[in-house]
Amino acid sequence: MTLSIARTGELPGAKQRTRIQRFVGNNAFWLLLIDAVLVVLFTAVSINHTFISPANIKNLMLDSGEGLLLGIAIAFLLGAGEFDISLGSNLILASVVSGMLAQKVASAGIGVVFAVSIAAAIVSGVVVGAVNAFIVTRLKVNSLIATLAMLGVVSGVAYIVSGGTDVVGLPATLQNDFGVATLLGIPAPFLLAFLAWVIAAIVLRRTAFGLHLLAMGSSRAAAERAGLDTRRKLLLLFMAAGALAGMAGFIDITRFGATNIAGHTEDSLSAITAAVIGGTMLEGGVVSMTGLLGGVVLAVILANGLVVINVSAYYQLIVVGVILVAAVSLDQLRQSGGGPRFRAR
Amino acid sequence: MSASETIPSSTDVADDGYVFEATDLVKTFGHVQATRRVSIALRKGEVLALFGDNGAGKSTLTKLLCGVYSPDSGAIRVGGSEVVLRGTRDAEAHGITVVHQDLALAPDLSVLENMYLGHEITRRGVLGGLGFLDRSAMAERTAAALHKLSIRLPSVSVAVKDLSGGQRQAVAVARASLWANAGILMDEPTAALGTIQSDIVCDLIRSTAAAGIGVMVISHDIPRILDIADRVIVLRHGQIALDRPTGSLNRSDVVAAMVGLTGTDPENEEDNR
Amino acid sequence: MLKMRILSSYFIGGLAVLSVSALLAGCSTGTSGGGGGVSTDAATKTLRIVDIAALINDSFFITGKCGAQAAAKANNATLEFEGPTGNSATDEIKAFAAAAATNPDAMLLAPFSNTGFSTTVSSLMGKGAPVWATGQTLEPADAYGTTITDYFKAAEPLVQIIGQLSGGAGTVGLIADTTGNTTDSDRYTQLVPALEKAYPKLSVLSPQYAQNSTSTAATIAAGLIQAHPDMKVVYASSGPEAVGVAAAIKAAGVGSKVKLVSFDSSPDQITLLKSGQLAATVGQSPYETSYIGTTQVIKYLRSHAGSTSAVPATATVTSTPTMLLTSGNVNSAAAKTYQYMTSCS
Repeated sequence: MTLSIARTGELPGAKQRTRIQRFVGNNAFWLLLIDAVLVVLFTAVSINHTFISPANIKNLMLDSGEGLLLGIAIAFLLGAGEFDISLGSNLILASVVSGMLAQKVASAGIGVVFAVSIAAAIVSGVVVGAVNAFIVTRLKVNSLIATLAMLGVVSGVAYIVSGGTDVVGLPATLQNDFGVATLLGIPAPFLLAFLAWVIAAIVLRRTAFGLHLLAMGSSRAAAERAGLDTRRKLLLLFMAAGALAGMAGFIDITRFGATNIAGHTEDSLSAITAAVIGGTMLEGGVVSMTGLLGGVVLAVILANGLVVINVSAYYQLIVVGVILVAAVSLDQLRQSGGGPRFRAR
Repeated sequence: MSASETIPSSTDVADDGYVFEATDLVKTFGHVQATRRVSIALRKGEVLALFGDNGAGKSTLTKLLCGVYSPDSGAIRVGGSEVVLRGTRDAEAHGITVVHQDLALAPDLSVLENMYLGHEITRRGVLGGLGFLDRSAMAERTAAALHKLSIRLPSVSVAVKDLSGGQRQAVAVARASLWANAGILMDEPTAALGTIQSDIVCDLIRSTAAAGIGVMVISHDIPRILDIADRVIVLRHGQIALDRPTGSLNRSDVVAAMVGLTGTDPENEEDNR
Repeated sequence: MLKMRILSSYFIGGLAVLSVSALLAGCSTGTSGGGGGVSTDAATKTLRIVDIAALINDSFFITGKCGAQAAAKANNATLEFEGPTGNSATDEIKAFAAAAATNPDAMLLAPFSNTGFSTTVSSLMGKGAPVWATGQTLEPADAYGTTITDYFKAAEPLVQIIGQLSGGAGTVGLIADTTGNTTDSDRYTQLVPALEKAYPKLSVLSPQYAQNSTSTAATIAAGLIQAHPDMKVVYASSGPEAVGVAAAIKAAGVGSKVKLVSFDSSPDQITLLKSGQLAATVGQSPYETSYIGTTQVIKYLRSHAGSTSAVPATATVTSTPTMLLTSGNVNSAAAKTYQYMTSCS
């Protein structure tokens, strides 16, 4: 006997695109639409349409580098069903370590300075990530609590390492030859972040590792029953996220030629916001890299655009909040036509 | 195309027609003897029903058979030789897979992704080494596996959470049969399903058995499973209370064995053949 | 389960023992600390002073600590330095109260906000332990004395500098730190009307806030530069903001058109000054401020040795000097006192 249970409402010819991809594509589409609307709006209202001038596009790119890197990290973590609120202090520690080592090798020439800086930043980030993974997988502490605790620990370590204040006297080459450098008019820090984004998107969609992360987030039990070594994958995941935070720390010192240990307090939250607005689910199992890009772009457009069109500082806070609600509720409206939901977890 | 399957084909293992033969399994937890010298065998191509009241030891027995627990004493033989199962992967390596009550499917992943989770087909060469997936190969084989069991789904790219309960059960069974070449243990396959969907799953169980796989079904739905079973085993207090071909057994016979009213001596195997 | 119960009872027992000993310890320091009981060598014993700063990882407050420590050392006293690592009035209030509970002989306080410290301050003063405020006045004025920079006066030289740099016309941008904080707002609230009066063709923008984040400051500055093609000068009210604005100016390549002035002289700001990215900055003298405060409280304690009567509060405020630092004078001997350090040497 043939079992043929056709589902009503199912579009024929779905072919190789999973339902996930279509859903997520739609979500990102709406977000990108909002981004486009804002761009048009800001362009229209700004004097001489200065919002879309090449100089301002450059500003937008410079503004999005760190946020995009942290956003990739948190999107992957959320996808696997984990959390990380220590990314901001990971960034700070990486920037401090990288800056101090860069100082030490300042006389050895530009190549060495950059090699040492970027390696130091990434290694620092990876180590923090590994510790996070240890606490989560071996000590079995929930990742929110674990990374909340590490937020404090890593900040403390950063202050101890730097001697209590921002690192002074970073080699100027970091800023001159990378922070303000451009390739075909595109700022180098943004290129680095965008490259990371492309690689991340490929890993997520096309490799077994990416699929396994989503499986772990969708149903940890299913992943384990399928024989996946979740502990090892989480270790790799947290280390990769740490590496991304480290890269963001490197971008930070190249952009400013200085560390900023008193800053970065909202970084983790902003990353989570960008990821979630873009369609990455807090519960895990669904990640949208396009949506993440859209979310980061949204934040950057708002921060820059409101200043460009001269909105006063207090009203900026209100506008950002309103747009946030609008973006999410538009998404909810679109989603309300969805089918039945089943969670194996 | 290279597959990451590590299951030995049925020609590697001596084929004596049994999925497994377990003898005198004992499992004790603290003061509780969950399994008391249980001997059970599953033949390939056979549908074996396992009944028992709550606490009779069905769950423990299943876990012993799929490697989640290790027996305190007794042996499990596959293909004539004794095996030690230290986890579901070991059981899978011997051709035995389990479909748990919660199905263990990842809801957000598609049908083909769930079918191949942990057994992904990767591309050839360098890309494959990096873990790049060959989705078209997996899609093809998933479609073939579903077809073999006469399951029709609109698409293998649909997310599992968007399927109906019966469809999800079908995917779980299809996955188990893809990676099992000997036997499948199914825990309460119709528990969460309505009438029509339950019938569909029962048909699926028979198709699977017809394809040469042994299926052991644990269930509380006595009438329905009796209908499709070749053989019936009833557990009571961790021991076998009944073990015979279905024949003309009906529900009251099974219930009687479950609560101990048959008067048959569980140690007397002659009685139960 | 039984094991857990035994363990938890040990835990509770241990906690109880610890709490009791802490209480006893607290009581005992009370009887041997300053302000209680008659001591024959009270005039010569080593005094214990605790300095609570708003941000212990900021070079401004560290410089203050160095001054306080120098004064303490010269007068047979010890100085402890504590405070929060982030901008938070509540955290500082808690830290201050906790330090006060250890019964020091005197306290120095660099408050983040004017209010909230009153209960602890009046209780200390009542027990004969003088409290000296630096950097900001307390409301109500219940400290023994206050040394503070007269921010209004200190910002005056900026009027002339800004007028000079802008040529008297164009737009002036203003990037401040935190809203609602008078040590920040005093740096520009009188400056703005003074500027507008002296240079009527100058348009001063309303303040934007960067909250100690170089990233935020850079984003805002880039947006302002974009929106106002006639932007001539940007005034950053403190260190991180200056670093952020400088980076934005550099990235936009408008260093010859847009000039930066700031308040404060952190090591980063001195670097910017020396490299020409910062045209001028107002340096405070936290070393001197805290030196004066420490000397004054020690003087009081020595002259009132053995007395437990309340310390009289005064509303008088001693002004500490500031200096407008430029690339021209930054290397002079006079300018040394007005540059902040990251460690005392």
